[in-house]
Amino acid sequence: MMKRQLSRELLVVVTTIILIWGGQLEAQAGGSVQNSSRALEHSLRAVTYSSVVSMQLVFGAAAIPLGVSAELGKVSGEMSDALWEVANTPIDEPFPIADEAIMIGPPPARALENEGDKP
Amino acid sequence: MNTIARICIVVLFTIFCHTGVLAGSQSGDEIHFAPDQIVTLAKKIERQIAARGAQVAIISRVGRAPNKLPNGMEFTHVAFAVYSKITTTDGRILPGYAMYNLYQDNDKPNTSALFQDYPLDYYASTYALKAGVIIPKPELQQRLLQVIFSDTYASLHNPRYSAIANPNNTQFQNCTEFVLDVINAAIYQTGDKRQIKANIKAYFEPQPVEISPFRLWLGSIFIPDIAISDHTGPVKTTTFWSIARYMQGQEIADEVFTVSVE
Repeated sequence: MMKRQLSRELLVVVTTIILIWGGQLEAQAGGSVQNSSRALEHSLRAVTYSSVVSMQLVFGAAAIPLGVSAELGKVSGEMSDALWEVANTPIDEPFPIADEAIMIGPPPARALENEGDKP
Repeated sequence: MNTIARICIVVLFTIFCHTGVLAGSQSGDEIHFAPDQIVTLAKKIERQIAARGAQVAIISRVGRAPNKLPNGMEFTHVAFAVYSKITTTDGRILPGYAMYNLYQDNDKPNTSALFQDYPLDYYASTYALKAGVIIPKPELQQRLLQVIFSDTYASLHNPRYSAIANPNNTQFQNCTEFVLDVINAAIYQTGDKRQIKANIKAYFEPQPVEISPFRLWLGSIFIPDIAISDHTGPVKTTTFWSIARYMQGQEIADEVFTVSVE
């Protein structure tokens, strides 16, 4: 009698664990990025130093959309020729893309700690 | 000790363990491919969008292990890519895309925040070397730009996060629903959430989540970023492909395609 009750309890407990743990309830999620971005940055530095990848890693400080007309007058003075052409190109025409690998910069605390921590 | 007490102890222990597992997967500390493969994917996507002259595109990534996703869920994260002039920390100005998206909080998975980063950051933690891309019609691209760079963009954000948020109401929001809300704000040129939700309900068909109701119920109790209180009836949510079907069906997309790297 005692054995049967224990078996029943065990069955309930195991079933519960399977349902919760193995339930694949992560569904779809937005995910997060900050730490993986930094992990990738470290890996990129490593492979860049070992010359496996021949591209340059740079940190983006600001991004200004070219499609917002109000911004164009403000930034035209410092634009590269390619960008200036794009700003005056109708939508649907091919755009240039930089070869550099652009990422967000390190967290503020790390940036403060490491003055020379540049890509 | 009676049965209920035993079950409670085991369930609590399981929750504790499970939370740890979730936190580990969500902290996003790991990259799953070689760095050069991730760079290749990010650059390939940028170049394919740029080749089409798109100032705004909607791109997706696989942000969870594919074998842990319910049937029919291929991509888990969606965001806007906006063609930009990017000023680098070493003073150069480079052409490329900047990403505008909603990310789940690392430490509080039931909350989110809006971020701007770059394709390489966006694909850093991808679980597959592929992406889905939607190129909106040029007129919609212009309207999207107007929304993304207005106060409306932030006003559409709801920080209460659920991975399976119901797009027909404002109770919770995930990254895909946020993108859908912004698209509708652009189409109808409004920041009025009631109007946006009414139009979504009328024209958008969300994707059913193929997980048994009991498991979803358990998840809503034990997993912080799973909520079902915003759903009545079968649980349906916004996905990359449901957005793509909606935009193609309503003829507001020029092109939908996938990009992959071997």
